[in-house]
Amino acid sequence: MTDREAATRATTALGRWEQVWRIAIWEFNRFVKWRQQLIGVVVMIVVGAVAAGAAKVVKNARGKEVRVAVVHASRLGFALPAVEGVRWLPAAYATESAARAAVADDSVGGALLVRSGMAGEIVVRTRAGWTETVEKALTGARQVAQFAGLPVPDSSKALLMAPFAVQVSSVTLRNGTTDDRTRFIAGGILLFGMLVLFNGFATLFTGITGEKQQRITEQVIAIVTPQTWMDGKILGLVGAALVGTLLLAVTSLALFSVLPKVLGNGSVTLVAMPPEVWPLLVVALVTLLGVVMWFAFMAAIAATIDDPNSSPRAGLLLIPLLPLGLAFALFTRPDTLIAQLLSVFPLTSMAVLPVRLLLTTVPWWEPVLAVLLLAAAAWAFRRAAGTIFAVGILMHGKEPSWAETWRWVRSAE
Amino acid sequence: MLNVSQVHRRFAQVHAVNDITFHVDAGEIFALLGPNGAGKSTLLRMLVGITRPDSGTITWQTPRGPASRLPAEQIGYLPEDRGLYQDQPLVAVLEYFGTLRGMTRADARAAATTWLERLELGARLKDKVGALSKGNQQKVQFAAAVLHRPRFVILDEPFSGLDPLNQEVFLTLVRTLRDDGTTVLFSAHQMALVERLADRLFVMQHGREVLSGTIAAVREQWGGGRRVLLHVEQAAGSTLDALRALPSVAAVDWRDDGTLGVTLAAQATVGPLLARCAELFTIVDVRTEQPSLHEVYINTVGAVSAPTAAEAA
Repeated sequence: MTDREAATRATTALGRWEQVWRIAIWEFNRFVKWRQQLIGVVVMIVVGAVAAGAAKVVKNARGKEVRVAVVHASRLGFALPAVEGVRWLPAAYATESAARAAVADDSVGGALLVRSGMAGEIVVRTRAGWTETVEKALTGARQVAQFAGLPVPDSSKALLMAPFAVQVSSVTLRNGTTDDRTRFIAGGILLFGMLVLFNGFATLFTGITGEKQQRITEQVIAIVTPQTWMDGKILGLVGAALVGTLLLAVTSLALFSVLPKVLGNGSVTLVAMPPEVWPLLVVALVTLLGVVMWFAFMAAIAATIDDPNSSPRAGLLLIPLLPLGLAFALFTRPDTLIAQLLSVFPLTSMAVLPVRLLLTTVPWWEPVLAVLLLAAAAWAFRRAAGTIFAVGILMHGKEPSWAETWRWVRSAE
Repeated sequence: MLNVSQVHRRFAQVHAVNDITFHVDAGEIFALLGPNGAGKSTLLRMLVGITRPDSGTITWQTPRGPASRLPAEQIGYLPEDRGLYQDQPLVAVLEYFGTLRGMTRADARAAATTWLERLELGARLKDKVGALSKGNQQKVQFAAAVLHRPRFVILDEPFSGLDPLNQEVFLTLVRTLRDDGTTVLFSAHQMALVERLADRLFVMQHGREVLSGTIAAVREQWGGGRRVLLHVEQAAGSTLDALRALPSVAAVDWRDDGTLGVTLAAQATVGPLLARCAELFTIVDVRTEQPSLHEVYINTVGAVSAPTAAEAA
């Protein structure tokens, strides 16, 4: 068998989606640098451990009781109140001078010299925060003692102290889900999607324009079509952003749940899976489609850019913030007509539909329509990105105008 | 293997490629020549399938019959625009291009290793591309174009930017490809290298064909005649005039080193000329000289003027 025959056997014609997949894997590996990711995780763990340790030290310091000598406690006329972090020493020192000397040589943290039931003096070596707490506690204890001594029946005293009973109910919101776990996890998914977007956009422009900058373009489009290349890039970059963000999220959750136990700060239990799973599945699907759509949208913009370092169009990265802002604005009025429209509109549905699903009752067709429109928009943006890329890819030194770009997209149709 | 017929490509008012027709046979080395802006790269991009001709046809003979584009696994391309993924290891970059052209990952890695060793970069397999010199990066890019053992390779200016030693390396590599059964089409400016490498050539200027054929035929047709070099003891002005008056002589030039260069007129033979020269001078040495491809190029391409605005329209 000759070399050529061997090579011919080793080289086979690839289908379009096989090429897309190989490009996606290449792009993924270019931007997911496992070593750096691992270093990032280690740094997070170290920073988390240091922060948690510091918190524990502060808590311990706060928890350490201050020993306070009390002179002439009997003059108060009521019992010394319990104050967190303060231990009274009512019989340790008989005279004010002895108590002052004890404070001076640091035998006690402070001394309360009682003048009467209405006044006293606190002696400390240096100013301390607990003195204000003690002052409030003494005032409260005296008021309680005086209230108890008033010639009023106990029933009247109970009425005087009873709080005003308020029950909150809503007539505008028809609750979509009453389960806090569902809301919590769905909110987490939405937040995760947003993090994926902003995490991924940082590399998107480099990922789309990198070959143009490095003059690699011609070699690649001699092998694959620009649309295939763009599809592979979008897929690979979405994958890289998902994995990078997932790693961040998992590390954060692990730190959040494990560190308190390790440091003996009590335990934190993660939210359990709620009984209703379908709203979460819809939110997850909408989030995933939304991420793909926004990546395709931004890829189309990146395809018009000659140099991402100097292009004013890099500012368009902020566009996906708009739907997020809208979603927050609609938190208080999720059942309005505008909210319903925005929950199916592809550019806003990723952020608005989850809010409506969680806060109000949503008809069955709304998530279906939102998913279909989102998928269609993702497809259209990916086609537009491929078309713009095909024309702009060999242009150097000049960015096409928006009018030119629109003409390219129209001509492809 | 490749038939290009009346291919035309226009950018705004410029006819970048204007009614070009040629063919490339399987197993030959075919050179595409022309000055900067002649339309070579535009033509090569159309052959690869990056752009399409406005009119005319490009037909490839494949094992499955004629096709307008050669499948990715059967063609290799070294573009004029040089570049590689600077932040990636050499072997990873080659593996990527190999797998995109249909190789398995293992085969692509094996072929990449073989090529890098052949290019004396075997010890730097895992180095980042950006750590290589420009010449070495060009070697890697060459490997990326031929790694998958294509049936046809298109090399756009493969020798540009290379030092003489590396030019020789590339010369050998291209011959090896041809010997291995790969058909090679390349563009170049280095006429001495083209002369040593190409079986046939095609010269363009302002998007049009200027001349084409085998090296020998081109020299014969466009070289301006064979030349006889005589080393003589003395040559007075009057004897040179007598020589110039001969009908078999097209031109005479006297060089400072005592060499008399006589260019023969078309159809003239050497014998009568030498007999007459022996009468006029004391001849010490005689040599004949073929016109160089460089001279042919300068004489033909330089004679073609740019199209006027009316012609362009």
